[in-house]
Amino acid sequence: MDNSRLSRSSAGYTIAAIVAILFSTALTIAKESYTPLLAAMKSISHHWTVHGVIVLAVFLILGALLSRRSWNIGGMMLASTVFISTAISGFALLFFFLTL
Amino acid sequence: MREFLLMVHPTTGALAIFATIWVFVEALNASAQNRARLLWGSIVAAVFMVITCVVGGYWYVTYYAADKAIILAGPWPMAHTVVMEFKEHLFFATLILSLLLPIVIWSNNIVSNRGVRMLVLVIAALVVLTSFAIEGAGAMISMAVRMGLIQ
Repeated sequence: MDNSRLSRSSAGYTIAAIVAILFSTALTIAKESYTPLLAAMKSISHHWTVHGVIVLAVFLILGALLSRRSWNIGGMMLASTVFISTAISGFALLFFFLTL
Repeated sequence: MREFLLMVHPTTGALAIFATIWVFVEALNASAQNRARLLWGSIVAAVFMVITCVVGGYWYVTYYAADKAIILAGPWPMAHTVVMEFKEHLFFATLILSLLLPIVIWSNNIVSNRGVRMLVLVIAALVVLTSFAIEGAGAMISMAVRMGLIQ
């Protein structure tokens, strides 16, 4: 038995988390830069609430879909990718709001 | 009620940090004996983070506009334009990582799989670091409101 591989659900949901974190950053920059998008989100509810629902939906739905297939990917690789994507997200948000 | 909600969300956020540090330490010493504690610690952390999201989000959506006006008119407007904006959007990453932690712990053998153990350690460390950044940002925003009121 290959002991270094991750279960389907952890690989699927970890990849979904990486996508959702980067997507959330991209959505933040998009809505703050493009006023019609922010206005469209505000027309539904508070933009932060809409943002949160969208990002959580991306994480949960993508995670459920990606968990259906098996992934030949190790924990070390995913750990590095989660770290890098979260760092990129944090620094991108900080840089964006500092220069806005 | 307004002040109560304002105090609850950093408190539950701090409890989520404590629970995640607990998970980090248990993962460093992962064994067959502490698997249940690891899982329960991660569930407790996720529950506290969801409570933080709901309470803090409700306060932000309902009451923050008044504080925002005070901050923008005060000596520290960057507490809103940079710190609050950064805080409210970084939180989504923290929330997602908190929800991911119990899924990874529940569906793998963290004791025998070194890669999974590293993944758990990295996720827990990121939750703690981003949560501390958010707690610090909250303190700065509170101070900016105070500075705006006393100027």
